[in-house]
Amino acid sequence: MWKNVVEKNVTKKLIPKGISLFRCMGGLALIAFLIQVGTGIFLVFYYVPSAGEAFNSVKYIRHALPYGWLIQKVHAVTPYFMIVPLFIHMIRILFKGLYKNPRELHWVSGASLLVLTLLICYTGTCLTANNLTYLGISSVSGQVAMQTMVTDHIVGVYNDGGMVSNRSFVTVYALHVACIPIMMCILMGFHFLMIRRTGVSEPL
Amino acid sequence: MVDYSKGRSEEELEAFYPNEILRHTILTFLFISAIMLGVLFLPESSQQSTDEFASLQTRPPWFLLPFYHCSSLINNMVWHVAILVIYAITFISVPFLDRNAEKRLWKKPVFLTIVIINLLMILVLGLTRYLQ
Repeated sequence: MWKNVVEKNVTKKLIPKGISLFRCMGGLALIAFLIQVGTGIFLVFYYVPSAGEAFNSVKYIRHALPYGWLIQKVHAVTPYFMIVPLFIHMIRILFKGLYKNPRELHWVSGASLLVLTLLICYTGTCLTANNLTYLGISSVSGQVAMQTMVTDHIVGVYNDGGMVSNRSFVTVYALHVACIPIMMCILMGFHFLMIRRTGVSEPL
Repeated sequence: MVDYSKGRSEEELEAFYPNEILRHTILTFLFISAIMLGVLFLPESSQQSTDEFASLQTRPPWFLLPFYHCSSLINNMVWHVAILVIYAITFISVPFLDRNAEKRLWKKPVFLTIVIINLLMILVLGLTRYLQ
């Protein structure tokens, strides 16, 4: 049975000729996501999501754990490279008009994934509690003092009289390690399912 | 699952394995190499977040620069969040907003102009933030 599945999907599968390297960009973004998940799982065990301890826990990971510096740095640096194939992928599809019928939902799931990727990167920069975090908070959400529940919980309470509150750290942490990745996994599953159903587009 | 061999001759098809797998493997190797170079050479802030360090010049990730700059241009942060949400929804809804039957962007001057303006706007916002 497994032999049939592998033969059908890999070894005996035929695809249209003339597929360029630019068509592999979505796959690269997936690789980057998997790297982030792998390194993120390691970091979850040692990172402390609290205003007072976050910075020290990152320092502990870097300096005290074996290969902690490598895993933490890979986790911090990969988004800088992950966004490149994502942008190339989106721009190629936009310019070639590949989101047209019957592939509208490919675009919807893909564009949502790009937005979620930017959000997860933003929440990630907030968690290290370094001066970049301070910059992010003060420039994006520092002045947001809104009464609505969503903004209050996501951004409003993050700046608590110039200090970052523990409650905000936990909220941003939960968004970063659970809510957004789960939404991304669901959307990715949907994206890949749609690609299997309708296929990649014809070479123009 | 879609069958690409339907309606195509053998000359128009190639094997997924090893051709496509090899392409992906080479690109993945190059991509991981780029990440490793980033690990070695990209600087990372090691200053704790305090009022003292808030005045230091720090550079956010390059892809977030336009959004940071946008926030410094719009004083009302409620509007800032609202504009970003509307922008994201519009971006996600592109297939439903572009009802032109023509596929290629080059042949749709109005849509092409909108896309170019948006790309330039993002680029200029990011660059000005970077140079500040």
